[in-house]
Amino acid sequence: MTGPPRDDDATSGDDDSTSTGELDVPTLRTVGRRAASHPLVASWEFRPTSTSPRELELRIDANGYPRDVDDVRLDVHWFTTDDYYFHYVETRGDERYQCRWDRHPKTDAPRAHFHPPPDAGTAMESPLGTHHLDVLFTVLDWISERVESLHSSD
Amino acid sequence: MTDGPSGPTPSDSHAGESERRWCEERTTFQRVYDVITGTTDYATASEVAEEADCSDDGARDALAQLVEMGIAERRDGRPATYRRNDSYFRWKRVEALATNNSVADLRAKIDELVAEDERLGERFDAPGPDAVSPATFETSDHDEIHDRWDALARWRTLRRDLELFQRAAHRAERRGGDADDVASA
Repeated sequence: MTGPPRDDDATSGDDDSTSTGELDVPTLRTVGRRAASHPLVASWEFRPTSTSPRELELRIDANGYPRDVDDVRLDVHWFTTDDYYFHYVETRGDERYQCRWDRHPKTDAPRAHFHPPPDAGTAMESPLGTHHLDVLFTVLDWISERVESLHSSD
Repeated sequence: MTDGPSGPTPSDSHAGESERRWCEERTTFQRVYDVITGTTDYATASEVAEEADCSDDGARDALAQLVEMGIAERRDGRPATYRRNDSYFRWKRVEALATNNSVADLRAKIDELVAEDERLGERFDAPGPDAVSPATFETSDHDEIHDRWDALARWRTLRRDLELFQRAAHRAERRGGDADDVASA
């Protein structure tokens, strides 16, 4: 079976648009440890279990947030192909505020893209690369800014 | 609800803050370790130095130690290149599995993984993740692509885990039955 011609070949010259990796456990462990030493992050844990992990869950310290915020977490997937998802979820009662930094094959948007808050809506281009620590640090800096803006608008 | 940052990256006031903290709190060796454990493609010492924010010589020294410890591997060349040693990380996981779980638990987990493997095989109508047709991604529905891509990545992860659990079960059996000396991870 052959696919329709692609018009975004300039950005996907290596024809790996359908490649998927496996979960990259050593990289996730490093991301978890480095995140945990950041003051925003309370803990890190592999889910559902550390023996057979499917994702890394970072718990963001909700004490730094205004009181109506109940829970904040960042779910991280990193694959051996350097594709990833960083999913930020802030919970107030039943209400969620969320966004996601993704890198994965996609026909109608750049491979690296951002689903903006408040509901992780329609993808926009993301300037983030494929370096695990750069991506983590950028997301943590984004969260710092988010916390700050919540307080300044209190 | 407030707006907050809506774009993918923070504005200038915070950009680089986390990285600065990392550089202050971690030694050169530790930063090179953090970089190389996430490096699956061969990179030169100066590429590693750039990511680890240290000198080329500093990166080379740290990499030489990491190679000696088995954590990184080195490919000779001009210049030499380095990446993490995947077999070391696999061996470590097999060791941890064989030490922290009984043979019965490992066998039960293998059965569980095999059952999930069969379910994914039916879903994609393929004998393995490498045999899935690229046409499966020919849709412009983003959620659907995301969903399929996710399932396929899970399948690969599961195949890898299955192999590791089988190696761990053999190892635990050779040690003579259930391991009761549970070590902390």
